[in-house]
Amino acid sequence: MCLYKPTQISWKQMRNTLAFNISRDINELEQDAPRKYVKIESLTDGTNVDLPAPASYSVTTIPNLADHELVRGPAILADDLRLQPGNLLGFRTAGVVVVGLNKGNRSLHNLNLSRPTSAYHIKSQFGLATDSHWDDGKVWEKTTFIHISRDKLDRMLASIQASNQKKMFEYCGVDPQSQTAYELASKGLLRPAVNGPPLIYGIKCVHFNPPDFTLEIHCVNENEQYMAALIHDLGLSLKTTAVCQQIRCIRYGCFTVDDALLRKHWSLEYLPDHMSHCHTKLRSLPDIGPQLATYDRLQSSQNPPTKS
Amino acid sequence: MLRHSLRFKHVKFLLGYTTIRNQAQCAGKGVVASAVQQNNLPVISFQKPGPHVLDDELRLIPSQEIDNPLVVDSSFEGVTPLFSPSFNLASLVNKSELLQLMVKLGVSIHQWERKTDVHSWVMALDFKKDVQPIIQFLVDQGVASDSLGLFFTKNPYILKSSIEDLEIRINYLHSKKFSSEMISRILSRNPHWLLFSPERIDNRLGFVQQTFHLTGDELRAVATKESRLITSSLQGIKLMNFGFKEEMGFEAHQIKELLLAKPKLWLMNKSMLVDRFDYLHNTMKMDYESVLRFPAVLTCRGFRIKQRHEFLCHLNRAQYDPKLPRYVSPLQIISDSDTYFAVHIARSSIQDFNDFCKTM
Repeated sequence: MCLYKPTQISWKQMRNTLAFNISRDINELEQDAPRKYVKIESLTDGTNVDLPAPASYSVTTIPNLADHELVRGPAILADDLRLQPGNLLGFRTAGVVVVGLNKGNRSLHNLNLSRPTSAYHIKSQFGLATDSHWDDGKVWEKTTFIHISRDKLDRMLASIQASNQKKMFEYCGVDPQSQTAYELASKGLLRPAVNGPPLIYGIKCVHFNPPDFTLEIHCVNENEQYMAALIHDLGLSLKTTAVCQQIRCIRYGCFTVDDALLRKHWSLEYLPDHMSHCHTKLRSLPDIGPQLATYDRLQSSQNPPTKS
Repeated sequence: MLRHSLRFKHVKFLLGYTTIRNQAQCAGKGVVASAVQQNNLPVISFQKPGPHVLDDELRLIPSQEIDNPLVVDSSFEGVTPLFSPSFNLASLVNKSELLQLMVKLGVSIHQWERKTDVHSWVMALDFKKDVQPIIQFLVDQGVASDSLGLFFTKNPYILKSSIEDLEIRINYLHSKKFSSEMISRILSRNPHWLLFSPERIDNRLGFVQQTFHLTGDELRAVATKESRLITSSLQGIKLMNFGFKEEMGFEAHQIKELLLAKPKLWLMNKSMLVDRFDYLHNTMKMDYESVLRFPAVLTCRGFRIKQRHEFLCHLNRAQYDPKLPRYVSPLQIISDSDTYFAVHIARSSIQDFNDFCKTM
């Protein structure tokens, strides 16, 4: 399933809310009646031991109260559900989180092996530098930003993108100018391994209104600190300073913000339809096959060949 | 069952008994009956395998005759624990009348096991002597019989208290001029109240009265409206007062107004409340008077207020000054479903509202 994570919430809180909601809704569904309990009682008076054989027994079937909901507890507990995140967003990052439930964790694992890219929108502002690289941190310095034009920003972003793509080839151990590099690149986007460094495949400015500006980044293996530091470094390279206001994941692989469920919809009323929709989407992905080059495939072939 | 048959077999071995007993002969003496019982419970009328069964056919070894627990006078009933060790109360429910009655009332035995140590003493209670008078007492005081289940789930310890203690506590409340309706509301909403001795309650009521400078009627109103405040931690009340006064900047008479209008605020998490007020006051520019007029605004979850406020800002409809047109009252922000809010207050659609939430 694909959920929209609100900001200022950790994965643990999100997981707990989701698990609690699902188990609460399942427990409210109609439950089976308590099982039967067969009671065999001797009808003779137990103290009279001179009778040679048992006279008679009464056999009654009563509902087994040990099976009653108030006695045994809820039918399903939150811990019974196995929920795994596909991409772990930071505490302050909002956006698309793909979550696997029980058996779905297998398809999630396979999805992750294909190293899907994520797309982020980062709302930032020029003119401020703080300790946490966010706009509510302790302010270190304030600078002017009048000299920044759209043109300068675009050029800087293009150079970042180019250097990242060069790094891609270097991680694969090939010279970017060589034929091997061309062949690898033509087969599909190169991807680093699961625990590799963050790589940016595309970065551009989608909104520019100084001091505010918004960047769209397509990347892999990213994390929140990396992106906040990226904004900070961008500001420095433009001879000013910059901080993040909001980081939002708008896409993870094929799952976009339009597919994501808001927090008020994380319940059994909406989840089944949503999950079948996600399932259909996953099935319709093209089968990439094992030719996709991985980061250390040329170095040590530790990772299994990727497949969707 | 296991215990009985073990003992029987054990005795057989000791006495050199080898003939295979006819099932019918050992039946009906407590062996078969106990074979059917699930847990050897509560076998108060112990049915021992009759000694006559062994006497005629066995020759007992003299030294063992005295030790043999089966060869004793027939008046001795044998010793066995009332209930064998059990993993949970669920295994005892089918045998115990007390537990069955609790289930009928709606008590969650499961919750008892999870949260309390009730299982260690509840089985020793006698229904007619201990439990029934307490149920009668509570119903007389005005606790609704459907809510007795919830009452005992939350506070099983009341089943251990004596009727005299409970009566003293109720008399104390009467002496402080609490009416019967007030008392029944206090008891229904706060099952733990009756566990507090009159001295403790007196202390707490006095503390609340002095801290907020309440008159007698006001104190009674607060205690009735939110009786959990009186049984909660006094330190918490002090901390919350600090929060209101120093961190949020309310004045003493304003704090008293808030207490009388919504005492529930004092049971909430202070830092969350301060954050919420910070957003309301500094970002939404809501002044103290508006918060005092609509204290419910402080009980609404922060993210809901943020979503709705930002949406109104986005549509340029965030107008909170009652003197100007297109005024949106704080109550309208916190109440009703998202659909109602989106359509009637924001004059937009729920789809737009949901899309906007995804950009936050």
